[in-house]
Amino acid sequence: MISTIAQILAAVSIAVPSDTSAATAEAGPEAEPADTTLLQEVSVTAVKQTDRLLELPVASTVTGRAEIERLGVTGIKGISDVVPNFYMPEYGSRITSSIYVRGIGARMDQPAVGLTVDNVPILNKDAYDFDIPDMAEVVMLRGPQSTLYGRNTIGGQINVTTISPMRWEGWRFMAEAANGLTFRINAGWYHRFSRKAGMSATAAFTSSRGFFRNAYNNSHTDKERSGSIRVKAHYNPSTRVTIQNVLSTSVLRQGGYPYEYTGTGEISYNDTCFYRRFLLSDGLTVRGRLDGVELTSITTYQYIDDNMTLDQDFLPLPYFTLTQKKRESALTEDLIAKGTNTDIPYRWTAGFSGFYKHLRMQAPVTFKDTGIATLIENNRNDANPDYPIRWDERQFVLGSRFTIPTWGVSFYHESRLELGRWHLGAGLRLDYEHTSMDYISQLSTSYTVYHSPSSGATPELFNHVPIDIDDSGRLSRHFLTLIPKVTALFDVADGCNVYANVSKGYKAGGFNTQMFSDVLQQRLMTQMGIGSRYDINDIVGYRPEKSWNFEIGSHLEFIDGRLGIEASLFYIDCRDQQLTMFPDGTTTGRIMTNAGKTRSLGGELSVRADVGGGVTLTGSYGYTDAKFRKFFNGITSFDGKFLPYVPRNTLFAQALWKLPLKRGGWTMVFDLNVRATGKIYWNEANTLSQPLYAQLGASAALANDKLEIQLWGRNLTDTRYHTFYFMSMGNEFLQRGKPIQAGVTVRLNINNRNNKNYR
Amino acid sequence: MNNKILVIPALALLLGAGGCKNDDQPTATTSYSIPAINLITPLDGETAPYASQGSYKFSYDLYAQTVTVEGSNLMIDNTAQTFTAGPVRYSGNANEIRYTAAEGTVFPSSPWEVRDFGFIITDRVYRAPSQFPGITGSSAQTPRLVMNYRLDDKYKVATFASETTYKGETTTSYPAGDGTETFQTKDITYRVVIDIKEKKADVVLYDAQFAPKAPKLNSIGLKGLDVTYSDGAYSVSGSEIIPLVPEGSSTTPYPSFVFNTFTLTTTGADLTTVKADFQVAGRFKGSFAGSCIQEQE
Repeated sequence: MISTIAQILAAVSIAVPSDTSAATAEAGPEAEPADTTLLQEVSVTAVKQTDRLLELPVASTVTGRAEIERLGVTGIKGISDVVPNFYMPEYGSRITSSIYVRGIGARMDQPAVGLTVDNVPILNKDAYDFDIPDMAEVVMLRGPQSTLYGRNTIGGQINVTTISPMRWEGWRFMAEAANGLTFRINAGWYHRFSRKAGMSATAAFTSSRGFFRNAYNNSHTDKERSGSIRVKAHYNPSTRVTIQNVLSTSVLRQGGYPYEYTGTGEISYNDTCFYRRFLLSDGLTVRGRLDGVELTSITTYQYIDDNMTLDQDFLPLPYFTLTQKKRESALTEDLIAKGTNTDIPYRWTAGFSGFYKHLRMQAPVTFKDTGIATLIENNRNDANPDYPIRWDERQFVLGSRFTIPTWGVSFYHESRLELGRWHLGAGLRLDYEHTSMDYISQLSTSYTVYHSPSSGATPELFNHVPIDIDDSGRLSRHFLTLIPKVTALFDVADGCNVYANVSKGYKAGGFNTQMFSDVLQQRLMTQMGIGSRYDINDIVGYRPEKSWNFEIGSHLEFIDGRLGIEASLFYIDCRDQQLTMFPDGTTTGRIMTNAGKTRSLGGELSVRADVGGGVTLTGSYGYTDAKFRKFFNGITSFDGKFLPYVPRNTLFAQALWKLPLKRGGWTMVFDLNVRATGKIYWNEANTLSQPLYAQLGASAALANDKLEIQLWGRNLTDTRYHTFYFMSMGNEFLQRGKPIQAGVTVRLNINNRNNKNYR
Repeated sequence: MNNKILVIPALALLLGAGGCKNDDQPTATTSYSIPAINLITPLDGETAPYASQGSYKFSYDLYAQTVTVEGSNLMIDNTAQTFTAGPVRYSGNANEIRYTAAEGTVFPSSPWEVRDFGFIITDRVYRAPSQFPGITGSSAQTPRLVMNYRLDDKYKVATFASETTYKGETTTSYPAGDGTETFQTKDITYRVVIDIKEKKADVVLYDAQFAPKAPKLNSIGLKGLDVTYSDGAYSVSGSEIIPLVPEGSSTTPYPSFVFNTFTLTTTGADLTTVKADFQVAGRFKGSFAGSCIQEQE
């Protein structure tokens, strides 16, 4: 019965009939790939790259399924530090998906790193942080990947692939309990109807009470509940054609924002905070193989509907709150052609990609009693105590609504020529993007001016001032850029190569929607005679970020692959780097600004050694020295200062011991690891910083081919550290990192076809 | 009036053959008048300078690229006089038309000869960022006529507008701790609106900020200042002026920002540059030097 339903679902999902005629005594799926091997069918990495990653002139890290499960990785945040120079801190809520790679990063708006999940390119950074059950592997390509992957891959590209029903059949269950009343449950069903068709359905649920309390009401601030469903269908109508469709959806309900005020050391705020998000995506990949050419079409749709509500002052006083609601739909198409003729020493990839996304957003800021008194009345009355004012109502709304359609098209090509032991490559992408914004800013409120004729006299009404602002307008920007790259790789010996590449990175420009409440505040103040006039066109837009990445590196394998080393050195020259700034004064907005010129240099080293006796040692270290070459924010020059929020060092070291037991096919797996991050400067002036800190992790697992019981712990030394710092209205806030965590995870895999267990 | 009046003669400069007009060529002319206030300084050393509203008509021969200037309503001895200068060959571009007579050039006119004649009609003027309730000013600031000449050796004339906006650098010193600190800004704009009949002026300071952490006032108005004339210059001054700040559609007095003194005086013969000195709230001592003409880009 289940099989019948599944066949129907599979047929609907990929819009082609499934062929079950061969679903009888065929051999099981091919053997499980090793942790670091790619599932070759239709992953975008395999589609776009012309060769195995280790044979390409690119710094990459592939994290396989076993390592993902061992480290408890539930999303891309989990590979922070594991991938050298990759840092994705955890703070705020899941809308805050800040990623820094090699000194390139962004806290808001355009991401610095591209992300695909089962080939769906996630266009909005607000949707980067979500749990992805049953990941098969995470591929991280470091350095600009803009030639092949396009916009917003200036720091790198992450491609996540989930387990395929064509590789593994059966049921997969996972249950986990940890401190902080954290529970996770996953269930996955993987079925192959025949050699031609297969389908999987995965559901996951997570609940966590969290670790931090809001002292104002003693509630937990970082509580979270989320759930997701993924349906994946494969159909191979012939040996030359592969069709895959992946439909995913997830729901998130999250508390939020455990920001502690440095003045008291407490998390304490009075207004409601939460983040809610609904995600839906569908990716259809069709891959056809002709003689000498492989054609792939990746068509995706994605939808995000979220609501971020903040006590924006994060104090136990009614200053102001923000509610940011948005709905964004996006369509993408990537048509890729790749030469597959192995008889000639030439490889090529060419493609066309286009996207359209449509964002509707509203972001009302509600000023409350203390905010009106402190930020408005006091400022005004300090300036003119003889004619004091009082707001007529103790709450008003600065309303902002936006509609932002964005579209882009690009053509790209990459060639690779083998000349003996030399592999020379070159690529070029032409990228055009157009974005516009229709905005409506509204404010309707009033206040009364009083006058005291003499000291001590009862104030008399002097004037009543209504304020009605109803601004609307349309802004547009378009960007055209060429993104080249050249590469050279030399095969030193079998499994050993050195390479060099020069590539351009590109991050799109856009609009500072966050500034509109500030613009409106200034308009309000202007009507009161105080404040600055903003030219919306000047302050709201920001330009694309462009970089040149110069890199040399090496992939080395020795002793039959038991020792693997990857090393790279890089220098990045970045123009117009997009950085988030908090404007001076009592304003409440944030602004994305193009920070003159920056440069980043550093290196990465990854080592994996199988030392025998079931012991594997793994280490990765990244060093980044990222500084402003030229940046003047209008008040101060920051030339020579370190870029804020960028860790100078990332380190991951792991010792793994697999100990087969003599009975029942059981194996004990012990894992001891450490992650270290820092030093991180929190501001442009480099006066505040988080020193280098380390977190110890360990796990012990007892497993056979069906069952695994894992005890694990993270941050076992309970290291205190901070992941974020910001100032608001002159107040300083920090987010503390998660304390010691410990839990138990049970995994049960039931094979349908007695194929090799995907554990 | 707008800068089309500059564009047409400028186009003639750009397109015309120039200078070789003969009787066979067709006639192409254009003309317009620009109102201006004349600051008249008698050179007898006894009579005080004064101002009166005048008007200048510019008649262009576009083929010949010449202009004839006719001054009217020039009040001399309480009588409206006229004079004519030209035709003279002008130069310029779409933003500016100018003429400067060669030294010693005399334009015969009755009853006086016009000497040291020169003018600039320019669109490169600063404009007020916004209106100010109760201070309306002139709606026709641009193009601005900057003209200087002498009538025989009896009168010196310079023109100015009833409303002028100046930008430049303001320097403020203010007490801080045990000493004094200085604050400099180029953000403050000064708008001067003169009523020559009443000999009164209103001044608006935009983006007024006198210390780094002091509130920036979007605009403040100083009303009813005295206007005085001296040899080739005018001054606007007052004391203990309580400024007005717009709130909504009306204004509110700001006694805490009282201007203990305020003096603004033209510094050049063409009346386009000024300096100002003021003291605010007994603490902030400010000075300003600026121009109403923008620098050439």
